[in-house]
Amino acid sequence: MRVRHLSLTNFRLYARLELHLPRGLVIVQGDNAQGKTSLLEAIYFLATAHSPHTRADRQVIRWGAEEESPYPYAVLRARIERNDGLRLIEIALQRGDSNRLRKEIRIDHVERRGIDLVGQLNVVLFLPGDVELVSGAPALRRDFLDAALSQVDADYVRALDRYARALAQRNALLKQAQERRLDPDELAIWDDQLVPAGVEIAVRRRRAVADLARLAAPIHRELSDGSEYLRIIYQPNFDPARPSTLNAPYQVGIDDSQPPAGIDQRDLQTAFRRALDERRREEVARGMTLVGPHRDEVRFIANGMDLGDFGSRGQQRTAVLALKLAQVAWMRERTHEEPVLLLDEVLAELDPHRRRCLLQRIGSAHQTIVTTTDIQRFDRDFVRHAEMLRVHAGVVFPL
Amino acid sequence: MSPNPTLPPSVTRLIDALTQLPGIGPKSASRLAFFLLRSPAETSLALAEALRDLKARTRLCSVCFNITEDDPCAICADPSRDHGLICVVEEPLDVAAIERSRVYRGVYHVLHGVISPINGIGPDDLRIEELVGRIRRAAEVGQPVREVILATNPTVEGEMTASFIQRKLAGLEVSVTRLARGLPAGGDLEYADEVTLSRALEGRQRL
Ligand SMILES: Nc1ncnc2c1ncn2[C@@H]1O[C@H](COP(=O)(O)OP(=O)(O)O)[C@@H](O)[C@H]1O
Ligand SMILES: [Mg+2]
Ligand SMILES: [Zn+2]
Repeated sequence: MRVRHLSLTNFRLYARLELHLPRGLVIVQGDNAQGKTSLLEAIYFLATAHSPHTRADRQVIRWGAEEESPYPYAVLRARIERNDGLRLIEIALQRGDSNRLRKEIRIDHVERRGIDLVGQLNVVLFLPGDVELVSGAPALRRDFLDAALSQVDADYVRALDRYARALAQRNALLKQAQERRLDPDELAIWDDQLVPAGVEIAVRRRRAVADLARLAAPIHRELSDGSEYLRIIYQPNFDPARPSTLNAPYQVGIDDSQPPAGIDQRDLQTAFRRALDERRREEVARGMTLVGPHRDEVRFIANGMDLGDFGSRGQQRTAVLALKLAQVAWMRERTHEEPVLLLDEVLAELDPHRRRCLLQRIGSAHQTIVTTTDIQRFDRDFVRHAEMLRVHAGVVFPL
Repeated sequence: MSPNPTLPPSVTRLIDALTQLPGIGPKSASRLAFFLLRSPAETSLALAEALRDLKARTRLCSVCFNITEDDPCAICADPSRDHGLICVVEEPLDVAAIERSRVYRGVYHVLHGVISPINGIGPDDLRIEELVGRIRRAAEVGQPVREVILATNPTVEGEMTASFIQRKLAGLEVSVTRLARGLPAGGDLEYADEVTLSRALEGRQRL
């Protein structure tokens, strides 16, 4: 798929933008703070109804818009070309009283819910800070999985939403339990919600990580000149039968996509419930839920070493790049559409070999939008086939 | 927002009062206040009177806890309604919505909210115990309740409140059903049209 036309009103520093985008490679050159990242962010926003930086949704409305209207608004619009035809996605954001943000989503002119956006426009975003995915806190890896799955699996979005709400309610209740006696049914109802939603999340994450691991391994081998073998391992926070797979880090070829044989969703639910029961006293004492997928971990292992703890910066970068490229292939497998690739200044931090590998792989995408401060970074040959744009102070023009 | 020092106190007092209402912030409140200032005095007086009567004349029905001017309310007092069938809803507005559909002939029980620990609302803050007591008493006087329809909204909190009530009714001789899903996007009864509502009622499922 590809974005044929992008139109922005009051999004970040873009007061108004009408931009036609061709098939293939688009290179956007611009100095710092001119609007490169914002342009990619807008396309990501149209795909997911969120900013890639969580909790930044409110900040995307152009600051100057405030003086022009008491209720400042932003509008994003994209015409998408898919295998099955054209589609128009529109998102309007309006800030109302008490800083609430109203989101209105339209697909082909019909008002829709956020969940209806799933699968309409698929993107993979490469950001300069991506290396944190391996080196940073576990929450970043969970966020990555959530964001990736949320683009292709509406059931996952629903389960995640139910889980998040049940978790917040249950945590609030556990805090109250320190002050008053709870009716046992009070806690039980939240468990009834938490457990099936949590199991659904865990099962889908397990399958996604296994698929991503399978796709990432050969890419990683190529990126690392065949010297390293990457494994990506899902470690659910509750796991009834399987001891940590890390005990055998050299073991390869395990099918991680399914729970171990003989374990079905009901067993997983039982295991989750048992884990909750066992830690009830501790949960009350600490006023929070201590078991569940909100504590899952994903680990990156190369040649038996955990890259998050022991990898060099270069190794971590390579692993993340392999993961992101695997995500492209994974989305293609799941949706039968080619995702749009958005690369924000990521070439600058790669050495020549990895840069070449990356450029080669993105060559097959229907559409790739790359930003850079310095056009000299690209091979002449590469640039020849690209549409060249320049962005300056929120205005885009041909270079 | 702190009151504008250039406005007379009688205006800021109204703005402050309006700001207490849900969905009304300082900007909307100011707009409403200045609209009233520009309007003839009768507009403000009629509004003031309506607001005063709202609390002075209404109370909760002692049977179903719907809002009423007479106790018991017109529905609870109506002998032609089926008192063996109780529909449990979150808010009085839900009663109004179901009544508009004109397919339901039973009576109601209004919870006045849903369980939500985040908002500090527990089962004791709702009319759940009163529901259990009402069903017990009906059985004692030989007019047992046959069925309780749990018609809370299909939000996480609505579902969990229904599940809590179901647990509390488990020991009683009453069949408990849940309104069939498939209500519109937001899922609120209040916004359901009459066709979806009557379908939801007909398609209710035994728990
Ligand atoms: N909501 C907003 N309204 C107006 N300007 C904004 C908003 N958010 C960010 N900016 C400005 O946009 C510029 C950053 O744009 P960005 O797309 O990140 O630039 P680049 O990626 O080219 O460095 C900064 O100058 C920032 O102050
Ligand atoms: Mg940038
Ligand atoms: Zn009544």
